[in-house]
Amino acid sequence: MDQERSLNNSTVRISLRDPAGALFLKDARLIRVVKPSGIANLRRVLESPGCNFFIRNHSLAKTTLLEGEDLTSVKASLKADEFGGEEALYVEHEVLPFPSFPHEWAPEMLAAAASLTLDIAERILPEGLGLKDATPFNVLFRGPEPVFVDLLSIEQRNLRDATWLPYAQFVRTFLSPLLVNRYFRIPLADVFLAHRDGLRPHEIYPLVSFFQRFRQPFFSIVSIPMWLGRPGKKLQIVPREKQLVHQPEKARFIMGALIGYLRTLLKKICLKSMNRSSNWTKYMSDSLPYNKEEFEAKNDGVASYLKKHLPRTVLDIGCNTGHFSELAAEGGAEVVAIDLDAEVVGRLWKRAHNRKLSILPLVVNLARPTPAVGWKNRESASFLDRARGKFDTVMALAVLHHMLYDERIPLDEILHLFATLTRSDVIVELVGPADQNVQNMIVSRGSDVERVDQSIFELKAARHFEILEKQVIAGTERTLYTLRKWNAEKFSQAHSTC
Amino acid sequence: MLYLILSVMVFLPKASFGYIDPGTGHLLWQALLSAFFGATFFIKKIPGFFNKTKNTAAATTTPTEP
Repeated sequence: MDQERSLNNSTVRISLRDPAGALFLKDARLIRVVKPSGIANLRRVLESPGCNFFIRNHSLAKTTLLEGEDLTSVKASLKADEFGGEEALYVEHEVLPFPSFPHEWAPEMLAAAASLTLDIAERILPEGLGLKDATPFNVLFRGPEPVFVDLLSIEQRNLRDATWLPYAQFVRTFLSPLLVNRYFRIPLADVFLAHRDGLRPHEIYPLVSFFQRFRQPFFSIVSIPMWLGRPGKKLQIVPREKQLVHQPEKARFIMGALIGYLRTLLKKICLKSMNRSSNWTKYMSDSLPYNKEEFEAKNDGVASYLKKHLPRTVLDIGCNTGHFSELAAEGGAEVVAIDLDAEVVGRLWKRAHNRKLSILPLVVNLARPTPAVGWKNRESASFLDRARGKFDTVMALAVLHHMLYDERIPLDEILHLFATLTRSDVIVELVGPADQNVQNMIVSRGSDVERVDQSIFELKAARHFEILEKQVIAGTERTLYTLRKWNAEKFSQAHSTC
Repeated sequence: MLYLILSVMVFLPKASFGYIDPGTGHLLWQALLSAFFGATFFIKKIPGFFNKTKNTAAATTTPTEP
């Protein structure tokens, strides 16, 4: 998703590389202007039974043609004459609640996006349609469900062409990142922040052992393409016309088989333990620093807040396996849950997906949030740019002391950030300096760290918030605060958009 | 002699990935796979032919109700 500010402050141009048109975010509406050359193709896509199947299942972005007065007013306000003037077609796409990028996804989410891409490619094949590109940047998530958003990627294919055009791109951007993540534990953020277009075979080949090179899935994804594409090899590219087969039925069969082959490789990679443990995966079950009664007291505090205030949008910072995210989602909130540990985020995604809860779990460390990347640093917005002012409630449970003592971020800064992320409320759990774990953290980081007790916290919080509630969790050094921003906005009635 | 070897090494063309299409290896592998799947397309038709004849034979030998 590309973002280019243009025209005026209420209009943002999204999508930079697409030659077929341009996408604009205008007053919370997503408008696509399609050049005359792309209109017939888009109409065909919108009429396609296969595409409509995915639209009905909410796996393909809902799209409507703009007509009448609405069209006239949109045209006048966008002034997008360079895309074909009066001849251009204007369509509106549904806006998904919170855009996210592959460098913030758990591996399970990338696998789900890959699977959806193959499902679409396979389903539209008999209709004479195909995908011209297959990259995770064509997919966003609505809660835990992947949604294919780039309708212009779907095009009419040459019925006699047996080449699946985005084959290499699919391998580079879906299979290869998953492969290095599953086998070599390289985080997806490390792959996608440095390699937006994915990994080429020669970038993975040195990591692969001699014996692995001859074993699947390395053989098909890395070794063979590496040996065939070795630089210096004289390569004569056969013109595409000469690659066409005589029977459309045969071309369709070959493409179906290629897609099936990629699906087999995807499954093979996913078999490599998608459920690994990390330092944080057993936090809720084995390592909770308080007993059952103490946890229930905290749980009751959060639950009663959620029941009373009914926030529509919630950001859960340091969500771990998502106990409180689930509580918020069960109360009807759309939740974005962030944690720095990809394993817990993956587990939460699986639970949210199975239970159909509106939770979008993302791998984000708020102390080092996702940067803006791409052309002019505008193609993928930073996490903070997407999250600022988008949530009725921000929850920071058992995470503040990590930011204070592990990351050494001053309390003022943290509270200021919370105040920019929330439209109204913050539920924050303060773990006092007398807590044994906090003492260990302070000792290991030197004596000059700021020790935040209740009085310091309340004094500094008062700069941004009024304290609505304060609940000391009996028997612990923990205090649960409910804060409300001075001049807070009322909770949103409509879901936010970014 | 050592200088000669070093100079030759310096001026030998080094493999560069800069101008290689990142999809070349995948493209060739896809072409090989396509050729294989193309062959199976015709092979698949043969059992279909046999099945058809078998079914036809079965149909003709099925006793009819009196």
